[in-house]
Amino acid sequence: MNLVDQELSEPYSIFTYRYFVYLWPQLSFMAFHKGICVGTVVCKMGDNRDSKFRGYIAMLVVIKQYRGRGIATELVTRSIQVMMESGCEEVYRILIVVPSSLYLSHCSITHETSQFTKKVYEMRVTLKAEGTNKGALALYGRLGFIRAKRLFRYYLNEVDAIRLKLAAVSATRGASPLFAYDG
Amino acid sequence: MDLKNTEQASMERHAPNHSSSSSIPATENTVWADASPLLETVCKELRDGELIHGDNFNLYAAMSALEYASVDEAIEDGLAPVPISIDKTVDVQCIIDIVDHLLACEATWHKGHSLAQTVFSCAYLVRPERTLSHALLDSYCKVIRATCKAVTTIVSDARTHEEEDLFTMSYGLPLNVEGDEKCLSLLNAVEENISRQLRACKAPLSKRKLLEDIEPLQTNFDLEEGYCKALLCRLRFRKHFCHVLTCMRRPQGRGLELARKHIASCISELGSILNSAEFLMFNAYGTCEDGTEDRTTASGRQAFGFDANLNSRISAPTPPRSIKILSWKKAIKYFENLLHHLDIICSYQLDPSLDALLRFVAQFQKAQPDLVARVHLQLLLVQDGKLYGRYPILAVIIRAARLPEVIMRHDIVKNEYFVQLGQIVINMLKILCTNAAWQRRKLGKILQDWRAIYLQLELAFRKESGEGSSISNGENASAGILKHILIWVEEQTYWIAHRFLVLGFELELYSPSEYCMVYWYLSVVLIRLAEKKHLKMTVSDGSAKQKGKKRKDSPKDLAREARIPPAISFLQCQICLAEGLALLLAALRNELIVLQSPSPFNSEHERFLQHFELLQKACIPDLISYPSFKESTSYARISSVVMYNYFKDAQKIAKEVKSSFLNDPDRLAELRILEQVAEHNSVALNVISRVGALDPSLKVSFEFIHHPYFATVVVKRS
Repeated sequence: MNLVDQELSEPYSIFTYRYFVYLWPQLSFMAFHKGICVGTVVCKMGDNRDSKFRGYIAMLVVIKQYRGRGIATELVTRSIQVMMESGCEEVYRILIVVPSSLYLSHCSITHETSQFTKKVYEMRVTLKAEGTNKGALALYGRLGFIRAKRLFRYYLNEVDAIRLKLAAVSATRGASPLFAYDG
Repeated sequence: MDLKNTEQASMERHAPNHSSSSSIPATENTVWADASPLLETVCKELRDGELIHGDNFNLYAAMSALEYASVDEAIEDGLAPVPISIDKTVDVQCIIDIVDHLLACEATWHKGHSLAQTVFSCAYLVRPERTLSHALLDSYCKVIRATCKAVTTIVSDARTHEEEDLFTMSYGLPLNVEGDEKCLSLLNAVEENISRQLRACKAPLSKRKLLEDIEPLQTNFDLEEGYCKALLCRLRFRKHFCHVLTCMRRPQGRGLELARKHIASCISELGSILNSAEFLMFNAYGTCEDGTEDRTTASGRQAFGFDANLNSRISAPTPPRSIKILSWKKAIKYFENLLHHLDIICSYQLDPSLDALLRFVAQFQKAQPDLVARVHLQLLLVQDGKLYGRYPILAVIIRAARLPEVIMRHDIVKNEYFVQLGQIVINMLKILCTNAAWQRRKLGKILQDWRAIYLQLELAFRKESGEGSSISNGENASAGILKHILIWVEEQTYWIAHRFLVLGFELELYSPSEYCMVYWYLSVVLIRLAEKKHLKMTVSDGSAKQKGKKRKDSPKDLAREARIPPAISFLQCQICLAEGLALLLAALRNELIVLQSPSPFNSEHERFLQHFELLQKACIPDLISYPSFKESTSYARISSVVMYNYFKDAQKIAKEVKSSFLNDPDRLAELRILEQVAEHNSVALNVISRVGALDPSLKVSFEFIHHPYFATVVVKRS
């Protein structure tokens, strides 16, 4: 929690952490260096409305000084491995995309999702212009995620999001190409 | 923790004094009790991390139970007095601030926030009866409500705002107030009065005595002209904007010419509104907002009479969270853009040619217009199942398939599959007016519909022309019609597939490591599109020739027939660019310039299948698969790409065909850009070839600096 609080300008509420960590403890991983937590990933998985068993990566944080060393890749890889072993057919991640017209200055994001609307209801603004997203997109791209769809104004203030999808190998091969496309 | 026990204990300890009444009076459906003592006890007894559980107690219920000050209380507190000030100058200043803030609220609503928290956060709008005694405020509020109602109606009618931001739910807000229909005549009367006041204050001293019976707008004579002008441009903008919406809704596009005049007036008045800012800021009473860039009024003052919590009880489904209203300057910019896009729509010539229409819509969408403009376009295009409300959709299809109009009388067009074909064309036109992200998803899905209708038509064609016939044989008229329609349906399907693929670039849905497979697939789709288009032209030219006079063709005629039509050459240029990029990317990958580390979870094959799943399901094209892609690209090398320089071919074609599009500025501009990209890429390819593909100092990237989906190859040496 402290790690996420530190790296994100606005912390999640304790209920958010509890929701993920209490229900899916096996999907949360932390990276330590000399006893200090330097990175963490928090995920969940479950049946979706179209009956697909899906994993979802909720939070991924690595302390600034420890970035660029493959820690995030390792955290995500481990969580995906557990998801796949548990039978997940797909894994999702939502990343914000900063349009080039918006040059915002500072570093991190938080959002609040309404359970009653599809969209993120409110976004506390602060983003590093594109650099953060390019790195994150490249990370997930290397792991085999495709950019499944763009969510128009997913965040109000004209900020879109991209839904990344990783389909399990067993779900994409077989007699017919009948695997999920999240249109 | 058990709520019941704690509650019981607390109530026993803090038994209410029955002689004192509750601070909130009971109503028919509610009884209120002060829960402060209970909460105090609970806070003391709950441990860290402990949660309250109880029957009928959940987060939503708790949040919804919070009670905000009612509208009545707000007005009683002085939120919305009428007049705003006894001092007429201050009153006018405040009204201008309200007008400006309402403009900002309206733009914010269009951009995706709720009506209740934006436009209807104005207490004067919510209580229409309060403004009856103030002609200016009353008429302006009426126009605002009428405008909001018009926009809400048109967005609801279009029904393509799924996942868009403009909320059309009004949740009991007063959008249909009696008397609002007279808003324009009331506004005209107010405008006329202020115009007289302006004339009076500008009149020379000798004439001023004659105009003494005209009461001035406000009390400070030196400021009269400035305030009159500031108000007039705002009222006039509002009036003309109302007229724009009304004219554009007239059926069959009959009001478009008049709408353009009102749009021009709106833009002019917006300019005057912007110019009034200096005067209003200079003469502002009171303190101005900090941060001039964020101010929501021209004067910089906070507008009177607004409270975002006014409608909290009727704001559903969740309690409202605070939102940021667009700044006044951004609101003006928003309306300028909106009017510009509406003007483009109004200036469209309503061409019955489907090809021309599709090009217009694709070009229009490049500017990324907002929802309000796009719904106006959609409702113009499709009215009562007809194109522009004028041309039956089947007639449009027949024309697009290059069949004569007389075919409309043929029995075959009454068949069910023709009706279905008309429906999917209408559906396609609606989808093309949506935002790019939604559009791409829907275009991918309708490929199945187009494939299905093609199969139906093909079955019908086989039946008409006899079993075992191929498409090229059609003896009778019905078979002939179906043949034309089939070719056109195929061409249209490939056009949709092409749009689906290129939108992926604009939406940044492909990572650089996937460009190779995407360009390869795009080149295959473009080849098929060009084939179908050419076939359509050939078949229809052939039919026309058969019916024409029988004479020996002159060499000139033969030469004309042998020439490739410009539309096909245009596609060929794009094919060369796509092929060139696919092979260059493949060559770079094969020669290890771009190191590919395999994903631990899936392969390129899986990613290919995921990206092109919808196209593959619709067999677009037939017999194209990942193995075909690998076969085409596995042996690509820089040397071979240089030898068969597709970029040079693209450049050559673009140069040759430009003269054919002198009357089509959009396609001419596109050709120039394609030529530019081809030239850059050809040079880049030569540099890579000369320096050596494996030179470690070479850095190659693919940037969309000239064209939205054909990348320019950028080569740098460190």
